[in-house]
Amino acid sequence: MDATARRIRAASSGTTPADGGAGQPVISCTNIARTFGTGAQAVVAVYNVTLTVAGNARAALTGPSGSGKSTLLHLFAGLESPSAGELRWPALGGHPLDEPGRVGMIFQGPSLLPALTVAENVILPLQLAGADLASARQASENALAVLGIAELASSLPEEISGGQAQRVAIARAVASGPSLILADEPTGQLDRATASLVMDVLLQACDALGAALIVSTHDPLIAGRLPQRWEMSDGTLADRLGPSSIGAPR
Amino acid sequence: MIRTWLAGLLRRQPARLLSCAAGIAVAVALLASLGSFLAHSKATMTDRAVRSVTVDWQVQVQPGGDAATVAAAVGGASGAGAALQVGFGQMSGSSATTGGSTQRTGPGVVLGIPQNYRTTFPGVLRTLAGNGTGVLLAQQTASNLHAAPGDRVVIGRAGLQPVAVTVAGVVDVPQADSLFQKVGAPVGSQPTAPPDNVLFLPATLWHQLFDPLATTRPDLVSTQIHATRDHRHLSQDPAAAYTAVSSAARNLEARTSGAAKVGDNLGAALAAARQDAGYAQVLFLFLGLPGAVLAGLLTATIASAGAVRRRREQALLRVRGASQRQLLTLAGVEVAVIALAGCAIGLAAAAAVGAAAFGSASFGTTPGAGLGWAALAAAAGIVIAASAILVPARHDVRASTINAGRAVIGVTSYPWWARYGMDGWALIGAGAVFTATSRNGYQLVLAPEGVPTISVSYWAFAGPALLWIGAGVLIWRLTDLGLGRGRGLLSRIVRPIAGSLARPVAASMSRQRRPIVKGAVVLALALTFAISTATFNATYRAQAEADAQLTNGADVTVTEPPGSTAGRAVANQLSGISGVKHVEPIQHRFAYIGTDLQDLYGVRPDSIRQSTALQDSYFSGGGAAGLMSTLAIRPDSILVSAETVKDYQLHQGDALTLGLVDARTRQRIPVAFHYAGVVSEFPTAPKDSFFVANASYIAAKTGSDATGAFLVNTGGRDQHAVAGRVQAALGASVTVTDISTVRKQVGSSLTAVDLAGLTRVELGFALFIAAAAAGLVLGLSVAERRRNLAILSALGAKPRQLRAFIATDALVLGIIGVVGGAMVGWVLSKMLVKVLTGVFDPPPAGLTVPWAYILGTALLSLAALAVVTGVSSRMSRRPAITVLRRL
Amino acid sequence: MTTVAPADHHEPRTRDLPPAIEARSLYRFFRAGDEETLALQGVSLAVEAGEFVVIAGPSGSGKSTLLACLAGLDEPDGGTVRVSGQRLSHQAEPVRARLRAERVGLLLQSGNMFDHLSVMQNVMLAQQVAHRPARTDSEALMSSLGIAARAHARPDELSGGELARAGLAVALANDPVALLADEPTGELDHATEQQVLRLLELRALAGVAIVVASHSPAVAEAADRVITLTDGKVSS
Repeated sequence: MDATARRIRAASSGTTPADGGAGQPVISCTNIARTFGTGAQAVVAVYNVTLTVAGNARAALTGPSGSGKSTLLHLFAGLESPSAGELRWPALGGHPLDEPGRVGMIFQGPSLLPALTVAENVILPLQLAGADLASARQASENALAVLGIAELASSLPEEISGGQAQRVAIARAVASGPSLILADEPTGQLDRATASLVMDVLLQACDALGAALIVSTHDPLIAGRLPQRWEMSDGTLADRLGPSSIGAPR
Repeated sequence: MIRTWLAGLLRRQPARLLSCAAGIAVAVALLASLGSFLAHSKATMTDRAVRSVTVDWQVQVQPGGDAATVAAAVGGASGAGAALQVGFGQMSGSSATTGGSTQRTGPGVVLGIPQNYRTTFPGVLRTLAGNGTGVLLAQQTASNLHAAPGDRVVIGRAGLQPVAVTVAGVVDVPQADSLFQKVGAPVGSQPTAPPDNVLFLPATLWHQLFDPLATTRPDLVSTQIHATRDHRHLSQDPAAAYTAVSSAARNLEARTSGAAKVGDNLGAALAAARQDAGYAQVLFLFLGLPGAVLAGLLTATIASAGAVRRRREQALLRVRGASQRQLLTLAGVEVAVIALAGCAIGLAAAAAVGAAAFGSASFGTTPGAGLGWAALAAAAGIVIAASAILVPARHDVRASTINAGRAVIGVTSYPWWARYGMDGWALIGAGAVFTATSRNGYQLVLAPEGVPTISVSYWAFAGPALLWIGAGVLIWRLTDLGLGRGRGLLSRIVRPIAGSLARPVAASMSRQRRPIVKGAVVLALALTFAISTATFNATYRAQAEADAQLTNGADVTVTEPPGSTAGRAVANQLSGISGVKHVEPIQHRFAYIGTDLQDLYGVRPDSIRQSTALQDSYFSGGGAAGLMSTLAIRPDSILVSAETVKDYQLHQGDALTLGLVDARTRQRIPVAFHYAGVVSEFPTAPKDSFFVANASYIAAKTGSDATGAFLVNTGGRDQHAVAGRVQAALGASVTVTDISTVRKQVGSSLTAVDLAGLTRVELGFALFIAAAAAGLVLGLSVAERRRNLAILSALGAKPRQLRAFIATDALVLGIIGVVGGAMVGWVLSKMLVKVLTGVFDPPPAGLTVPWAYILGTALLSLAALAVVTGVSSRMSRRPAITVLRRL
Repeated sequence: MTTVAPADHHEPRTRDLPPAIEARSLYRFFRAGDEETLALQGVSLAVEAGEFVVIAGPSGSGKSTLLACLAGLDEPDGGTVRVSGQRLSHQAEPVRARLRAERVGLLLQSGNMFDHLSVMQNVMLAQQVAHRPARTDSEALMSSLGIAARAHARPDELSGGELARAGLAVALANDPVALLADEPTGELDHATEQQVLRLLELRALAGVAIVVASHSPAVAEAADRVITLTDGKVSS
């Protein structure tokens, strides 16, 4: 895992990787679909999505509940496989689950491991990716410092507030120096002020890492913080707003 | 409200109900199976007791009583069968002249038996030679007189002319002790041995000979009425049967106004059986109850998996304003459904187990008792269901507000039962009860002769019960302490499995240790149950085997007719029979110590152990091997029974002179021995006093190497077949017995059949419970962490890494379960064997450990852990979509 | 509700009828180790029948605690809560449970339904718990909320909007004086949120006092009155 270790060192020292990712797209998908169940009960969650995500994308994925936002993000994160169509990660060089640390996922609800401290929560995925403890610890300290929650390092998740937990989840996602950050309703449980703060740190972190960012949300204010907006409806991309140079259809 | 709730539960969540019901079914099935064991064994005990008796009642006609009147009264008593008059006459002596020499005997007894006596009481006499009717000579008398069928024997009558009769046959009296009992005398004042000289005459002949004597010496002639009783209406419960029979006997004595005294042989046999029944009951308690409690614990573990959901539902009901009564009613509905299903499945399973193991699907000796057992088992099922579900629900209902008290990570306060050093107190209590029991000589069942009720010391069960509780809490405390404080050690232990993830794995296990701790305790206790039960049963079986071997002597025992001198030839002949591995001759003589006559066994100390297992517990003052080598080194050494040591004030090394018969002169000569040790049991020897000495020394002193018996080792196989071949080769003059036949006859009726059934049932349940506990506790602890595993998987954990998280749980569970189970199981086995000494005869020298079963159980439990690890890590490989959705 | 509240002469009265739900100087502390946090610091409010009030404020400002105290699910350390004049706080749990069953409806952000019961069964159970068994009522209620067609569906078969309406049906099953809702639209998109708000407004018109805790501006816009909490105090 030399590459991962290198990235983590790069992330922990705060330098931006030189390639920036603008060259190769992070995601490229053609007519992907995802259905659950079979026969009459089959539910089509994502349908006919064709899309390219450039290395410096900043996109909001909007749409009503049940329109397929979460499923699309899970597909992008490699947590689910498309039922049809082609899905590739050109900048990653392989499937995200084979390249741990290259995609950072932030979930809507509380997703910290309750039995681990904040610092351990951030360190663990780095260790899972094969980093040695010392560099993982360094990366974790830096990430927590960047997000302004260094003093929470030894707290347990149950001892911190929802807003703080969401920041820890962001620290966990950025600590490995990913090329793509996916955030599923990261502010759904937060009040407006905290939500705005979380978006600030998320954008800062992506800028620092040179990572692409996709945020799903139904809050127009949050969507407004991002230059692109992809509207989903009934499992498919309905509309694309904003400059087309970043997320252009193939 | 109830209908709405119930309909939803039944339609949508049958799995949740069934899994709890399964746990309850195990408990109910175990209890009902053991109930059926108890019922079946009681019935067998009664049956055996009845069958062991050759003459149910021997009614002594008292002086002045009229025999015919008494006979009529006996025949008319309730439950009576046939009643026959038997005359008992004392003879002053007997003599026979055979082969030119005349042998004389001392006084003896002459019985007059009616013509149909032998068909009515088939077990009383066994024909050894000649005819079965006419004048019959007891074997010992025949041997003393050197008489055979066709010879004439002269019977001496006090004050009258002796008369000669012609011997028609020689018979054996298997139950001479009871036939010649002093009717109505207490146990202590019964004659120590039956008379040596006994003749049986046809009733008419007897009357000719003894009616005259009755007029001159009425003290020398008496009449007994021998009676059979109707066994069909006897209760299957030995205690009840005893009460019925003995009260009928007392009733008869009262109705004949003192003319009759009943020798109640059937009652005496039933009295012994009811003591065994008492022990069966104790065994049920000691071996069965822990299993049922364990099944309950398992059910509670299953139920606790749904505790979060149940709590959420209850909170929601309270939000809607449900009253306490409504909340408990709805929880009660779930309990009722679970208990009902569990009891139905459990009772059906028990009926199947009963049919398979005991050949009977009934749970009791009577339909009433059967219903009682079923009800008891079902009640236990209901209690378990209620305490697993209703008690936590009640606890939550009592919380003052809904928002009060939510479980969180890192709660380390001790539950009430772990505070105040509960484990220490329980263990001290266990020790105290154990000591108190041992002071009592471990007599848990007392059935005094003539007292209708038996007393069973159930409180002795408190010892093992407290040990269970104390050990469980102690394992809980130690595991909790170890996982909580010893995080560094824990990470070192899990490193081989978790590798670089050892630290986070250890940290997460340490902070969320309570499910693992609880699981480890359940697993350890399940293994404790399996180990202690199996060890107790194995020890019991080994002792039953020792008992059989003690009685029979060896695999096959050949007893020569009295006076036989063909020892060496027979030994050679035996060695040639196929299946015979070793033949060991044993001399059997009689020796006078003072005026007392005792059996003397001459053994070859170097080779006797090749044919029979001498246990150290047979001897005191040295082990079996040591004392045999003493006999070899100092050939004049002798082993003496404890009673004789006491009576004659013997000290180690004392000279002891016995009177033995010299074969050459047929005169009694003094032979000097040295007292070397105490022997209490010896193969083929009687229960009372006897001697054991060196055979070659005896042969040299008495001028005869005549043997009495041969112990044949068949290597523990085909005893019955070898016995058949031996009998065929040596002819009918020798008695051949084999251990497999004897095993079925000896000892308490508890020994042979029933414990085998109990063992099968118990070991099966123990194995099942241990494996289920292992799989279940790991499965539940994984289920509790399903969300964590989904997060880990989403964070990029590889299958290998996920497996590490689950496998470390399995490792810790396995280590604590196996080590804890082995240690507590060992202590408990020791305690059980000690406390239940009363069921052993002879008491065991040590534990017999069934390694194969124990290793099998441990391996099966570990295999269950491995399977659950494999399955659940495979299932966690792709994060559950439903779980992911909630992230 | 027909039950008439006992007259309380110690409290000043401004109207003939007591407010549907009323809180007076509520205090609530939470202790975690040595630290003590004040979740509520003297909060007072009164909501009349037919009023639609929104409690707004950032996360951790005490909205949920206030709502729990108003519903009698939590006990304030100081102050009183009254429902149509009857004291709900500092009562034994059976009394609180009865008052809740008779007068209060509660709508939570999620988990309003029992998973193993259908929508209809959930509504009926809520009625039976409150000793108000009337099948025709429950059908009428579900029709009025546009959920009658899904009466026999299980909660996990419902869409987000249907789930919200079904939850509302359960909360209204006991015909409450006051309906308390904690972030009822937190997980809903804008269109569904508007649907739910219209239904709440209709209930207010029917005379139910509606109290909603929410940080959603859309919810605040729908309200007759907005009470903003900051650090456990009413700031506006």
